[in-house]
Amino acid sequence: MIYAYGITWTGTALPPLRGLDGAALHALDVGRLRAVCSTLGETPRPGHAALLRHQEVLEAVMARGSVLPVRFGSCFSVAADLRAPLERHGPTLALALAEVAGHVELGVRARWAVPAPEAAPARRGSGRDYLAGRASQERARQAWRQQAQALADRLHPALLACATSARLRLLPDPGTPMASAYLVAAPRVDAFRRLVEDHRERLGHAHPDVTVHHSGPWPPYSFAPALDTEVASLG
Amino acid sequence: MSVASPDTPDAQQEVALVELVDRLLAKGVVLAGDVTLAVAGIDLVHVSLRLLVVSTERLEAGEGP
Repeated sequence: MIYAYGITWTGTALPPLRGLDGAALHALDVGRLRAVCSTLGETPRPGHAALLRHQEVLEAVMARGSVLPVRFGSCFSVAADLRAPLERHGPTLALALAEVAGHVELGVRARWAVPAPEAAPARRGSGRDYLAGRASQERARQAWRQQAQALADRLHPALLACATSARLRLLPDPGTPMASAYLVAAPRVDAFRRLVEDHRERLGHAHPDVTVHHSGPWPPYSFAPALDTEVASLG
Repeated sequence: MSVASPDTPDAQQEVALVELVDRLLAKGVVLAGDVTLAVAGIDLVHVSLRLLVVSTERLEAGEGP
């Protein structure tokens, strides 16, 4: 089967790396687009080594040209199954690839020392008790959400000013008030990091229970276009 | 990739892993509906994968599962 790592331009040379399971990298070209692929004997298992190798291949491609990461685990029975969506979505993919040119993704993740409480099951008892429990849970959720929003209001606009584009998520999990991704022009990466660190120091006084981490540079995972092939959720 | 934070190395490593898993399983171009992972119950996939990765690291370090 064909395993796809990312999409770049046909002019981008393949890096001298092995892919998942030690398989060679090869290109599948459709118009101006090039999918960076390997041929695998079986579906990759999502272990530590496979995740890192997928990431390493994309980092190496990004060092040679613009790249749109393909979601981990994307396998195609035959080359035609990969070629078809590249043909169908070629203009969208080319536009997205042009937009990320010269940029990298940087991540910012704030964490609470004490996570927001998970929604506890409502107490058994009378209907009134049940409703009171539900109302209490909802108030607690709202309070945590307001705190997350207040933190994002302090941090996000300042960081966005140093970025070309951003994706912000509030409370993606109970320990994380915000996790955001910023598309930053390569020459501004150091300035962006300094900005995060400046804000981290200032936040430390007002929000001693919050730590702020920055990560990257990443290939622009968060700025890949959504295509109509995407299955939003099966759950 | 790298993570900078005021935390301990263990906490930094955990954040780096969360950031990586988050991107690989929940982001990126979805070219077809037959993606092997990451379409259903993404939070559960995250949790189980984090556990899997930690378990794998322990095994590699000879600590047992």
